[in-house]
Amino acid sequence: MKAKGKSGGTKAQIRALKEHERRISLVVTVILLTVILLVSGFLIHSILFSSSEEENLPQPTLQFKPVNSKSELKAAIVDHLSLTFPNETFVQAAANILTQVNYTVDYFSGEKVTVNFYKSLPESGYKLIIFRVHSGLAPDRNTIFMFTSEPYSKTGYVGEQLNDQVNAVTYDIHASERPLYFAVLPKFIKECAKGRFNDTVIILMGCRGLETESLASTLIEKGAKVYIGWNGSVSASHTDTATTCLLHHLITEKQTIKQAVENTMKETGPDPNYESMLTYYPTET
Amino acid sequence: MKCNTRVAKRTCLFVMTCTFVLAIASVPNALCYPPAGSDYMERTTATIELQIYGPSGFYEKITATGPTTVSRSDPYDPGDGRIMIDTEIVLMNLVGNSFYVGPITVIESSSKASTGAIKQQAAGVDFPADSFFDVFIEIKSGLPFPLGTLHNDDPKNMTAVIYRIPPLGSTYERPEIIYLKDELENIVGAMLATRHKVEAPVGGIAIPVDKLGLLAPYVGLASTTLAVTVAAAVYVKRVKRKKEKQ
Repeated sequence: MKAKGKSGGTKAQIRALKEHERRISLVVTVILLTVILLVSGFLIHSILFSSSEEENLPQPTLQFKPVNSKSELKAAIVDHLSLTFPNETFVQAAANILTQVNYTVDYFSGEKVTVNFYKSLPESGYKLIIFRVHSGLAPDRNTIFMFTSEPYSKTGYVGEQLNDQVNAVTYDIHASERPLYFAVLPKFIKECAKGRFNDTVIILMGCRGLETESLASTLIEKGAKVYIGWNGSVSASHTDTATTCLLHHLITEKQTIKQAVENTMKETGPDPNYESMLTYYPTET
Repeated sequence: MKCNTRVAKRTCLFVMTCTFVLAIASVPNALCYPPAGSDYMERTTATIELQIYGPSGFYEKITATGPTTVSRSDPYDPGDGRIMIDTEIVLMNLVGNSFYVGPITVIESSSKASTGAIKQQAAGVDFPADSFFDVFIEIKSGLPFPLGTLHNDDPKNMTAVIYRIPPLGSTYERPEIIYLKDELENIVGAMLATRHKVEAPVGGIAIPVDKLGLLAPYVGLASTTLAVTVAAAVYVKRVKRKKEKQ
């Protein structure tokens, strides 16, 4: 009787021990599962919603110093077209016009124009930014986009792609093999760009910059003073000629935006191939 | 036990496949010369300095615009490591106006091939590249026979540095003088400085993004992680149950 009681007590102890072990293993399994899920969730989130690259504005490729080195006026030439339509004559002419009136001109060549470049541009304090970049109109017939030189990848900027802040674009419309690049959309400037423009005059030399006001109004909301662009397609040579003329009127002759744009159009005319005109936003500037 | 090993192997294979697919998807599009094909350039502009001899001769700079189509071979290494592509103008139809002879049309020669090439300036670097064409043309006007169609027998060599294929935005030019002959093969004039520009807008088009496709690898990764975790848990449980039975 005594032995039976002893054996029953041992069994109960073993059962309790096993139950304890089972509970421990259950807790360990649950913790393990939670940790794995949290880690994979964190990994997926970090891949989807963060860009790991340098987010500060890169060093300019060239810097043109003003006549008066104490001047704090800064201008930027964002020359994405240097990769496909290089024009050193334009760059030199624009820099000359600006340095004569004491602007320090930062020149960014095409390979520097990345998605993150646009992100950090507003807070850089430029009073004038010349975007010599490819641009176009999205299929919704409203959204204007600006090219970067970053090759498009399905795994890059996934969060931004899902949020319609960046898109895949190409400029070789007729080519059989179209290289794709990332382009930034107005929503990217609005939601991702850091800081605000400093009453900046923005000139977009690419196509269709003012075919709609989507990009113009976003840039104005973001602190830009005025936005000048083409109301249709424009060829590289014509936009270079017209922009040099515009800078001459606007900077050297200190004309108003309205006067400068009108005089530029009088002198250079609309684009001979696409009949587009240079125009500006807001019109009351 | 055998069954578990098989499951583990299959899971491992699945995870490796997912990793491989993700790795492939993350490779950016490479920039390189395209394979053989043809490029249709909608807007090209030729500026020809034309000198016509004789008592009623004249000198004039004529501008003619229109499309040009160029065929390309596959890229190949000619032996010096600088990749090359053979090219030929297969269609050119430029329309302009002359102050002296009225409307003119400049077309690619119907009897001679206007061949050329694109070649890397430095081995392994696609752009900038050197490009040239030996151009044979016919200039058609409303002048009476034999002046109605002028042509060149010696090729007009036109060269350019190009930054892309098709060479949008580039200008082919050469100042050398090439004689023009009439329909009776008499020299009646010459082409002096000639430029042929491939006009291009500084625009582009947006390609719609497949958002479901973007998410697929991540959904796959999450599902795989979950499946592996559940499989591991079940496996542990089974092993424990077996031990308990023993």
